[in-house]
Order: sequence, then C-alpha cells, then structure tokens
Amino acid sequence: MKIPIWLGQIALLLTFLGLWEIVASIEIISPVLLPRFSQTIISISGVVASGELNYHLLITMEELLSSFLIAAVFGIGAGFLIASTKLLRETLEPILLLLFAIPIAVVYPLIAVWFGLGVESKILFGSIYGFFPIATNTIAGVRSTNKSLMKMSKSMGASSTRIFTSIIFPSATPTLITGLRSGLNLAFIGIIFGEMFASLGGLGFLINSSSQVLDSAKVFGLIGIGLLVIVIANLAFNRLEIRSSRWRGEL
Amino acid sequence: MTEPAIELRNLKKSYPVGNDGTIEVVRDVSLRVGARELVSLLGPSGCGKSTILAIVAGLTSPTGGEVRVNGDRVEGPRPTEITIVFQEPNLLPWRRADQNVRYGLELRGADPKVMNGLVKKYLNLVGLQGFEKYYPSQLSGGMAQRVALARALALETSIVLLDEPFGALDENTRSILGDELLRIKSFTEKTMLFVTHSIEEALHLSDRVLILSARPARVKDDIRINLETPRTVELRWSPEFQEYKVRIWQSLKDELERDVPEPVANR
Repeated sequence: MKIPIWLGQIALLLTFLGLWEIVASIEIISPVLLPRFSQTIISISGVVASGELNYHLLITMEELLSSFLIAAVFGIGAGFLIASTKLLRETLEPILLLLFAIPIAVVYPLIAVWFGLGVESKILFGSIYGFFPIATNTIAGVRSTNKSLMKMSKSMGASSTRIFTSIIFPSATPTLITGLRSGLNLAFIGIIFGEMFASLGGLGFLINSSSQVLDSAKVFGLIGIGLLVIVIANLAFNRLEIRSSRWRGEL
Repeated sequence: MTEPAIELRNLKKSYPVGNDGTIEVVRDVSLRVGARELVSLLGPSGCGKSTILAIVAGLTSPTGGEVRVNGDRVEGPRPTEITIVFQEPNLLPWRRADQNVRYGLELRGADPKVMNGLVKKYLNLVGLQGFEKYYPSQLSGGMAQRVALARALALETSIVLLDEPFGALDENTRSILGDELLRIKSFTEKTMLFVTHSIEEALHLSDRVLILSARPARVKDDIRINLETPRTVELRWSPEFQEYKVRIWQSLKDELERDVPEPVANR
C-alpha cells in the first residue's frame, strides 16, 4: 500500500515538535531562549483566552487583506498594461525587476513618518511588497502566450479585446496565480516587519513586545500563529492552481 | 467566365531586415483559383508559400499587388468567407475539443443553439464523436488537427486555406487525413488553397498544382492534374500518378537546388 504524502508530512512535523520538546526539556539551552513546545501551547492558549490574540490578529488580517487586494489590483493592472506594448515592456520591465531586487524595508521608516503608526502605513508597505511579484508575473504570463493562437484568433475575426479575453488572459492565468501567491506571502512579510518596527498593534507588534520582556514561549507561539496564517493561505492557492490548470492534466 | 474565388494580382512582399535592408519573399505572384477548386502551392521550404497564404487570409498586408476574394479586395481577415488551418492545430489548451470547435462561432456571435448543432455536425464529420470532452493535451497530433479542421469547417466559409495542415504528422496519419479532406470537400463544395512541400500530397489532393520558385516566390509552373476521382491513397501506385510525379519533380528540382547555399569559395 502506498503511504499518502500528507501523512509523511504530518509525521515529519510531529517528529520536529517532539524533538523540540525533548531538546528543550533537557535544558541544554536555557528555557528563556528555548521554551518547551508544551509551554508554548499553554502560553498561546492564555493569549487566545484573554482576547489579546484576537485583537492583534484582526489588525494584521485587515492589513494583509487590504494590502493583498491593493497589490493585486495595481499589480495585475500594471502588468497587463506594461505587457500590452513592446515599448512599455522594454522600458518598464527592467526597472520593475530592479525595484523588486531592492530591499524595500529601507523605505519603511519614511512610510511610518508619512502615514503614522496605524494600519495605513502597514497597508501601504504590504501593498508595495506585494505589487512587484504580481506585476512581474503578470508580464511573464502575457509573454508566455502562444503567438500562433493569437494569429488563429485574428484570422477568425477576433477584435483585440476578444484576443485579450479569450487568449491572453487565460494563457497568463497560471503564472498570474503564482504571482498572487508570492504577492500575498511578501505582503505578509512586509506587514509583520512594519508592525515590529513601528506600530500600535498587530501580530508583529505583539511578537516584538513579548520578546522585549523575554517571554519566549509567547513569541514562539505567536510565530506559530503567523506560520499558520500563511500556510492556510498557501493551501488555498494550491487548490486554485490545481483548478486553473486542470487542462494540463495527463491522459 | 465566372469570377475566380481567389485572385492574386502581381503580389509582392518584402520584409525589412536590419536598418536599411529588405528581404524579398514574394516576387510578382499572380494566380487564380476557381470556385470549388483545390489548388496546391508546392515549393521548397522557406520559399514564401506560407506568406502568400497569410496575405490571402488577411493576416499580413502585401507590399505590392492585391488579393481579391469573390471579387473584393482583401484588406484584413474575412471570417465569413475565409478560414485558415495552420500546420500547428493551435487549439486553446484550456478548452475541451467541442469548446475549441465552438471558438470561431463564439467570435462570430452565433446563436447558442445553432452553435451546438454546428459543433456536433463538424466534430462528427471529422470522426471525433466520443472525444468532445477531451482536452487538447489528451489528444494525439492527428486528432488535434481534426479538431482544428472541424473548427475551421464549422464557420462554413466558402474558402478554406490550408497551410501545411498535415505537415507535423506522420506519413500514414497524413495520408488518412488527406483522404478525409477530399471526402469532406466532395460534399461541402469548398474552394481550397493548400500549401505543402510534399509532391505526393499535392498530387493526391489537388485539381491543380502550382510550382513556386525558391525565394523570392514566383509561379513557375501550373499543372492541371487529371487523375480519376474519387482519389484514394492507392492511386499513388498507379502509372499516371508516377508520370505526374516525375514531371513535378523535374520542375521542382532546379528550385530545390537553388535553395542550397553556394559554397563560399565560389563567391
């Protein structure tokens, strides 16, 4: 009988958590630096019960969702616009890739000064982070369109709008979804960073304030929550990717 | 005399190369294709055959001369009169076979009921009943090209252009699809302009074979093929077929040799 892959993955996770528990309980490393897994669970349960997590997680989710939507709208829009003509693409694509390579974190202090410590600065920062992979993947998706399909479509009388909706957009979709996935992940990184650096609330703020009072169990627990958020989002994207490329399936 | 379905008058096409050079692909091609005729353009590869077809389809514009279809000058695609089948099936990979056949009809904005009827009719005609729900990735090369053929035929245009439609298929599949094409043509009364570089295929299918020169393309020879109909694959072993083959080969041979680059030392 074949063992399902997900079962192996869960076994791996459990082994990791078990090892963590054992290594931490023999206290080779000080419990202040490495709390036991069980302590982490107890600590995070307390944070959940008090409503503290709920409050901060909601802020982070609001920021994440807003940034993702803004990044998606502008990234997809800019991507299709830039890819639409050779001149725009050749001018702007290298600039876009260059900007993508810059550690965007360097501009966060400025954004925090301009937009304050509330959610706005985080939403803007997350959007900037998410924008680049979405835009560049949209351009790559358009470029992957088979030119012969466009020729075929044109010969059957398709307008440029119809060529876009019936050929270019569906061709670009799988790459575009990959871009959305990276965009969401990067926006999350940006938001957590922003919250840790300068803010009044959110998961990153909570991690930062807990680590300043050396509450390692809470920090580890919160990191776990952050991981959970991003894992769930990525699982959703997995399903979307499978659905959108079902036609690539084998016989 | 009745008006030809397709008429090319002094057609010329050259492309710019580099900053100020041009490459001449088609030089002064004139030809007529009568209604319900199947005419093959036969020539060495890269001689400009496909360019001629693309101009007739309205996908590229000529640099000189003109194309007339049913008397009208061609300025762009005319999807109600002309369809083109390419060497590659060019199926939309995210659409199932029947949705691919539907594609051209959707662009035309046909009534859904009419579309469904035409899709079914032409999928059956190319022998694909039972494969309606297959994605292109699940079809063999020959089957994919049948879908492409059905998609073109479903538009029910009077003219079908075929740009080496069976060129990417193996020899046997190619012969069978050739037979199918003749069978379909026999009761759909279509005018067909067929591009190929296979002498046998041209002979098997055509009423007339036009031999094109090496690039830049000119019409070198116009040979009427008076072979019995219906033509079958077996006809290829008949003496008449062989005679035609020799004649076409002799005409084509010089052009194939011209296509070979000259040795550097002779320049």
